[in-house]
Amino acid sequence: MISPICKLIVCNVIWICTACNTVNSVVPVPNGQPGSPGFQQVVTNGWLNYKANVTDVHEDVVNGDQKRVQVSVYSNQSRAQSFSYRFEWLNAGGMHVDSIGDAWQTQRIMPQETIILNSIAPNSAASTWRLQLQDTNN
Amino acid sequence: MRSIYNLFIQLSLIPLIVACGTPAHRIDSDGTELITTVGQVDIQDFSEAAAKLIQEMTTSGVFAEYSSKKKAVLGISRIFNDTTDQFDTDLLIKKIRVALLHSGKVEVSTTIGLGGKAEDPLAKSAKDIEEFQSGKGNGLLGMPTFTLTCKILEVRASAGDTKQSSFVFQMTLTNTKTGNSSWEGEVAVTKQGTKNAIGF
Repeated sequence: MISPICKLIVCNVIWICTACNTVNSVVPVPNGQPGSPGFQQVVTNGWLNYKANVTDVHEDVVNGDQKRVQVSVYSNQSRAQSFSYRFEWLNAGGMHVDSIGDAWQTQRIMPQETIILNSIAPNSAASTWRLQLQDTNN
Repeated sequence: MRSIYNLFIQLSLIPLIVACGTPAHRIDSDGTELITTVGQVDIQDFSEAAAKLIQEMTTSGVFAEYSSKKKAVLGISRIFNDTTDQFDTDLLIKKIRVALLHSGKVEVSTTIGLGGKAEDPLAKSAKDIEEFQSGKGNGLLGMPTFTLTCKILEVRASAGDTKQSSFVFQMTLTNTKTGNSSWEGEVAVTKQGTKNAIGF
């Protein structure tokens, strides 16, 4: 017969695992290499980082003056996974610039696959970006 | 005996907790807690389709020669919902318009519409009066540089209890000077499941 303390511990572990759907973030870090900036990942959800790990970042300019970013994301899992992501764009002063990409989007990633996430700045004033990743239910 | 009694009490509380339900509360319309349905277009589907179409449109460079000093004028032409879901197509088109306006390279005409029907009749009247009084005359000024058309299609499939719906958004930008399409894009949003769910 399982003791009440063990049951309490199991219930709390399950609650913690399901409640901790925190957001991982990725921001560019200037490294003097135009087109291939460095990047910094802030990992608060280790499980999410296994299935949506940013491996590479590229930038260029499209439409004359709008910055575009492409981020490579790798999953080391053995089953297909899903996660949500969104890009937030900021101007030179660090202020958020409203963008159609502010809405969370869902993405499916196959086992051991590397996929590309894209975003284009809403206008020429948006000069930097922040990628946010969140786990999904399935 | 005491532990069996405790377990019985805990198990009997579960139906009470589940049956209480979820009180109404506000959630983020752009967030991840939205209900995902299989049989209809959800609000997050419009957001995803609009974001991808804008990305494709911007990447193509169709507006590259325009700037805040010389803007392209966009007219909204035929937008056709060919799905079984009755929704207002402005749920998609307004997002496209807002994104293009934010780019600083495009203005959307609200006084020139399909069949001569202006989106903003008051603005059209004011524009007509201004043109008449200034002698600018024949109304060719402000004609759209591009027109936007869109068709939304639906493809359904099922396997046993599992249902799948694909909503395909097809969009075209036509150059009014040449009469040819300058950009075309297609985005599909596919959903699959046996029942609706909360979250992606």
